[in-house]
Amino acid sequence: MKILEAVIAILMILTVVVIYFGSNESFPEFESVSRGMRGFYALKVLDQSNKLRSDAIENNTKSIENNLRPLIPGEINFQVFVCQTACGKPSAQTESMVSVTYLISGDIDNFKSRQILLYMW
Amino acid sequence: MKGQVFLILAVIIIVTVVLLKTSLNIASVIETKNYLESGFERMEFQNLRDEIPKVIQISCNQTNIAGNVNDFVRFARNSFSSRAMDLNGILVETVHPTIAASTDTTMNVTIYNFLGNKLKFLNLSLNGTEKTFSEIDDDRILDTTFPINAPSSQNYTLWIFYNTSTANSSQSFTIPIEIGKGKFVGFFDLRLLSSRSENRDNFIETATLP
Repeated sequence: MKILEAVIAILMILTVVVIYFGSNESFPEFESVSRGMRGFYALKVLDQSNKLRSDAIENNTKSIENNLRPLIPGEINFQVFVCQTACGKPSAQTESMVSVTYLISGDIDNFKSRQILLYMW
Repeated sequence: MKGQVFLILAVIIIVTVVLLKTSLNIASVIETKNYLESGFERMEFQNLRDEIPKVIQISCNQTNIAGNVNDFVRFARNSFSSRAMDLNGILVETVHPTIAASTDTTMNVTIYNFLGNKLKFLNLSLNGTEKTFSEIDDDRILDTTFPINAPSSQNYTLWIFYNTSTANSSQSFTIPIEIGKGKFVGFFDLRLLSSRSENRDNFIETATLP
């Protein structure tokens, strides 16, 4: 008789687990949103300190990356692309990669629209 | 140990699992995440909003100030579109050269339709002069002119009425006319739509031309 009751108990638990956790409802992750916001703010801070526009217009991505380094935590890898329409992508492709886009219209009296794409992973 | 103990243990485990799951309140967590994501889109929209006065500032010394503003908005629209967001709206820009008192002057007016719909009918009215247009496609720019003759510095009001297949709209904005000065005045109605949020802003930018 004990075996029958044990089987019934296991079936009860399994039924509840399947009903409650079997609906493919995954717990939302915040990491990508917070990383994206952090990257966007970093670009904004760089822009406000006049260290973004001239480099972006000259397509000097290395200089932008060097200026961004102190603003982004060390454990996050990142790469910057500057473009008008067709932008490049990093060679490293991971599931955790997020990208943010910052738009600029030019610098002082130089009208040159550019997108600054910051990939982080 | 009697067999009923297994059943009692099962009930206790089930109640614990149900309580745990309920306390997690995933719906509220998802709502918080959506709120954060829509906040991020608001930041991107603000980036565009902050950049428009810079375009005007950059272009003040150039002849094609309205053209540059339109180019930038089109550029931003394409950029947002590649990120599954729709930037829609309408721009109305006026540019007049340095005004001399009681002298005929031409005011250039540019309308950029990017409402995402064809403008079926558009009526502009300034200081008693009316102009009517029809069938202006999405992503099209229309140029027109209005005569102005001001004896002294004063404000003019440009009235805009338009309809599309889905909506009618009536807007107006003030154009300050100052003797001895030329000005750019832009009316911007911008809307950024995504699956998560909608951001809208309606504003006027004025700049004195050198």
